[in-house]
Amino acid sequence: MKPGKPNLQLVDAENQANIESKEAASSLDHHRIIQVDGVNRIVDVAGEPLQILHEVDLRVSRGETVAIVGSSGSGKSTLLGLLAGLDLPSSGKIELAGEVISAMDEDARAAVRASNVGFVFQSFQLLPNLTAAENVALPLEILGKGEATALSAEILKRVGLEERQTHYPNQLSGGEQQRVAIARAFVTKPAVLFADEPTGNLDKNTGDLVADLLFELNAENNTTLVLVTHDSGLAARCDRQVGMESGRLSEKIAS
Amino acid sequence: MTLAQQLRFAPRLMWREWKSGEFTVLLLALIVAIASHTAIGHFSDRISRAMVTNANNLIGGDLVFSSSRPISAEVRQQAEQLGLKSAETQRFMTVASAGDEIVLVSVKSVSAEYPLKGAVRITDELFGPEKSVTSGPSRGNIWLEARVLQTLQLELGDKIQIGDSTFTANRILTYEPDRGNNFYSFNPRVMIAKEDLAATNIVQPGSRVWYRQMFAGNSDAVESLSEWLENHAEPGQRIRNLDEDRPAVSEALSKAKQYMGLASLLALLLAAVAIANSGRHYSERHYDTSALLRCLGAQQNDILRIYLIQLCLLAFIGGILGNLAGWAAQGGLFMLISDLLPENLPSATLTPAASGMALSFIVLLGFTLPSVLRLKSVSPLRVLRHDLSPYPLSALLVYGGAAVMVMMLMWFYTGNITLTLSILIGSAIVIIIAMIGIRLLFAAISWLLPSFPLRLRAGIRNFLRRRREAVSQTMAFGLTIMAMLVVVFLRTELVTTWQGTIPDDAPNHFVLNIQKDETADYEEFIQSKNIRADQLYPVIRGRLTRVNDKPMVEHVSKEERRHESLSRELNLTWSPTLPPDNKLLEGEWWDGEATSGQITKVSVEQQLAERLAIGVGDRLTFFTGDRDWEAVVSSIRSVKWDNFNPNFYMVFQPGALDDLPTTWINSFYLEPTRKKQLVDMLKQFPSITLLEMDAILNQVKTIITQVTLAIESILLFVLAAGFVVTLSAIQSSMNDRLREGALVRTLGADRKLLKINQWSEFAGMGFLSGLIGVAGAEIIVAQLYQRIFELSYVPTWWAWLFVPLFSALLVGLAGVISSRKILLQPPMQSLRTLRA
Ligand SMILES: Nc1ncnc2c1ncn2[C@@H]1O[C@H](COP(=O)(O)OP(=O)(O)O)[C@@H](O)[C@H]1O
Ligand SMILES: [Mg+2]
Repeated sequence: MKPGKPNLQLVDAENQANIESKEAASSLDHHRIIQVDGVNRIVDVAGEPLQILHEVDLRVSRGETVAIVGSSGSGKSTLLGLLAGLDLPSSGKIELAGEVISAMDEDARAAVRASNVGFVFQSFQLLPNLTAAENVALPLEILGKGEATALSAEILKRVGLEERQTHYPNQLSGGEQQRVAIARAFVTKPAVLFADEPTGNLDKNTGDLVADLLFELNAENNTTLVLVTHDSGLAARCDRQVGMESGRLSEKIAS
Repeated sequence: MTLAQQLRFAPRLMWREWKSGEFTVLLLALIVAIASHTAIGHFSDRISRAMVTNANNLIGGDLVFSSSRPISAEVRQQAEQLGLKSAETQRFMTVASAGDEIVLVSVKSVSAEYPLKGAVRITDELFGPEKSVTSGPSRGNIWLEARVLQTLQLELGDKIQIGDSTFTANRILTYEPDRGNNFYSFNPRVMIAKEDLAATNIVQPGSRVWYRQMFAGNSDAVESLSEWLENHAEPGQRIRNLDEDRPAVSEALSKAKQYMGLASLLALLLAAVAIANSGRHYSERHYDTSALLRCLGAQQNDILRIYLIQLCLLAFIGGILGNLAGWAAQGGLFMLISDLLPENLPSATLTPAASGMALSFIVLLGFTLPSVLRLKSVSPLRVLRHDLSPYPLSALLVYGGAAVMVMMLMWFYTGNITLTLSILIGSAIVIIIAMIGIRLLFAAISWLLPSFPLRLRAGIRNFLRRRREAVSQTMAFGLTIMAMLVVVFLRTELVTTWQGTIPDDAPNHFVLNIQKDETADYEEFIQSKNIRADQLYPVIRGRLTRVNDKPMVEHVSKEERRHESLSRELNLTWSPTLPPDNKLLEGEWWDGEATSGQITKVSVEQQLAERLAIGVGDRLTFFTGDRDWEAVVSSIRSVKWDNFNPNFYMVFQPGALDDLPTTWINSFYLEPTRKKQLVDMLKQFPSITLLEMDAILNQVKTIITQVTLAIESILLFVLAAGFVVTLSAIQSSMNDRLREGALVRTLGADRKLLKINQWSEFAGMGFLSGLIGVAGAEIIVAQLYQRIFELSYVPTWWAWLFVPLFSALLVGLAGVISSRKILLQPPMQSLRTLRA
């Protein structure tokens, strides 16, 4: 699996100068895993342009845990999608694990994701026709790793679901499903984990348990965590918080 | 992912989904398609080969070359080079004698290879049990028809003289496979070995001998020999094959084949509808999966290949299972009708199996690829924004592609462009009209909605809201019903036509040469034995020589001069009444006998009249024995040639031909168990000629029964295909319905209301589909009747009322049963399992 060549045509000329000038600086900093510079995201809504993100800058170091907080509709998920390379910014530059993903085509970004990124979603996103163990093994299989079954059994045990390996998602409670999702996210030992409102669909107690598990595993694996939430309690457990308001990002002081 | 990884991953993913029933309907549809293809393929292939064999037995080979001169060795060499088996016969008339008695016989000398096809049947005693043998008599022996023994007053084992040779009469000949259906070969037949022919010294240069060379073997070789012969045939030589010799059988065969091709095509198309339906459903259910896989790092091509591998796997499995099911089905069919089949039924060939396998890939990929291709372009962002669906495919691509696929399939299947176009055009008209109709209806219903009873409104509103889905479901049901009706209509028509051809009590005996002074006694004999007989017809032999005083050679064109009515003496008759099964087309039937001084009236058979350009009012001149005589055409009549009764080209007014040499003929039905009574008949009337027709009758009856059974069995596949269409159509809207049902119930609707809604929705859909189906079927059947089957078409009015009601009931029931989960499952559970 080889990462695709950066596709510079995707970035307009004005930005390109910008990118090149900053390139030297970024490669000096080995601890930096995410670097976002001047990212805008504009979409078409019924023919009218709608700007969802305004000149977003963000830096995240290896092993750091960062919370993006903000009210619903402020653009958090949009930013997360861009950070993970699920989508491309309208302008600006995004670097992930040393690769300029904002200049890559879809398949090259997928390759970066496969080897560096894990996800946890608000709506779990487990495949309904696969058992818990099979869901966890999925990313390993995409990577072509041999010992998928053993690894997934091991990590399911770690999240306390060793009894539920052969159960299907609709036989599990919401909290259990999210634990399966967390197991799936960590099974490839990714460098970065993106979590979009991981407790948003869960009640307070379950949510706390799931969050505990997430931070524990994160610490064990020394994973970088980027977590989107509107729950200030959850955000407070991170090293750093950034606020999102109407598509603009502002650094917050930890409380 | 590397290809190797994909090859491992795709089946694993598939197997997991398989367990949860994701592929059931798709696979079921595929199996039905392939099973119906292979079963019908094997069945019709084997049956038609058996029928051809059967029918070829009637001419004694796959190809027969007949000549009035010895057939050159070159012909035999050619056949040998092509790897064909051949046998030869010579036939001539001569006198056989024993003591003082003599009789004119038709001698056939046969070579060692005779018969190439079928078997000769002989008995060891008069009307005793028959046995089949596959060779002619050995040297020095002669096999003869019973009446030769009678006339010569011999017993089996006695000596008989032919030419310069003496033979031992050691068997009674009851059936020759190559005898054909020339009922009027008057002279009794005998058979000797070819090696004995020369010694008789009968065949001299210039004597009248019919030479026949029969060939059998691989059909390509037969084909090339036939071509070769056509280029080398001299005047007086003729090539005969099945089509030419047995028009009735080959017509039945070709109609049956067309029908089977059509029915299996319809089954296939229905299954294709189901496949396309569940393929779309399958791909829509996998948007989330693809988005997630992409999110986890799979590339677009990975996704494409994973689903392609899955499709190929499914096609392979469907091909295997379909082939197995098809194989089992044809085995079952053959078992059902084993009594009717020859013992050495041709074994199955690999062709249907292989084409079934190929078809599995073609149908599955052809009808699901467009929707599965969309999976590749699902955005990974869908994991965050659920509303992101891939761009819809262009309708032209989808429908145009499907139309081309369908057309190619049809063509491949039927090899008949007329048939293909009639169905396509018929369906296109139906679809367009139905689309417009349904839209209008929707408009009307939504306009009328406020005036519906309150309790029904919710259901109707559902129906309206799912308009797109409802249209395609209604169309799917409509097409299904249409296909089934086409198959049923055609089956009924063909079967009744065929079965009418030979009634159970069709005459199985012909009596020729009844003399004038015997007629009264003969009739009394028939009556006393309680035998069901037709009327006696007088027969006068005569040749048609002139029309309106113009010699025939000048009157008709060159091709028509070869017509048997001119080259041979005709059997002429007279009758006071129009013979049964004849229809008067032109002119008038006479009243009473001809009066002296008046020119005799004659009624001419229609086809002959046409070919010889004879019309009412023309004057015909006949030649009998030593004199010419005249008649004027008073009417033209149609004749049912295949009714196994005596039939005549020319029927004269009674009274005028009394002084011409006349014998009488008769036909009757006698149960096989009463055969011994024939001995009494021959004793009392030694000079008559008795022909037994059972063998030929049975052969034709067997063919018809086989064909009918084959046809009826095919209905099953069409039904199965209809069933999967229904399943696939309901399946694709099931999730929506479940969610909706649960929501409506949480909002307080009771089950009774839901049930009423479901009924009104499904029954409405069923009624509409029924209408579409009947309309479509009528259009298509009308076209097929005219263009392919050459039958006249009568619309089936009952269907217009009955079918829509029936389909309303059926679809209503199927819908309500399959959506009972909505009522049974607690709403909480529905909502939960359907969450995102
Ligand atoms: N592709 C898109 N097309 C149209 N509107 C979009 C698109 N992506 C995001 N939006 C809009 O942008 C806003 C921000 O969305 P999102 O990032 O999901 O917010 P958050 O996750 O903070 O709740 C919302 O109003 C959303 O509807
Ligand atoms: Mg969000």
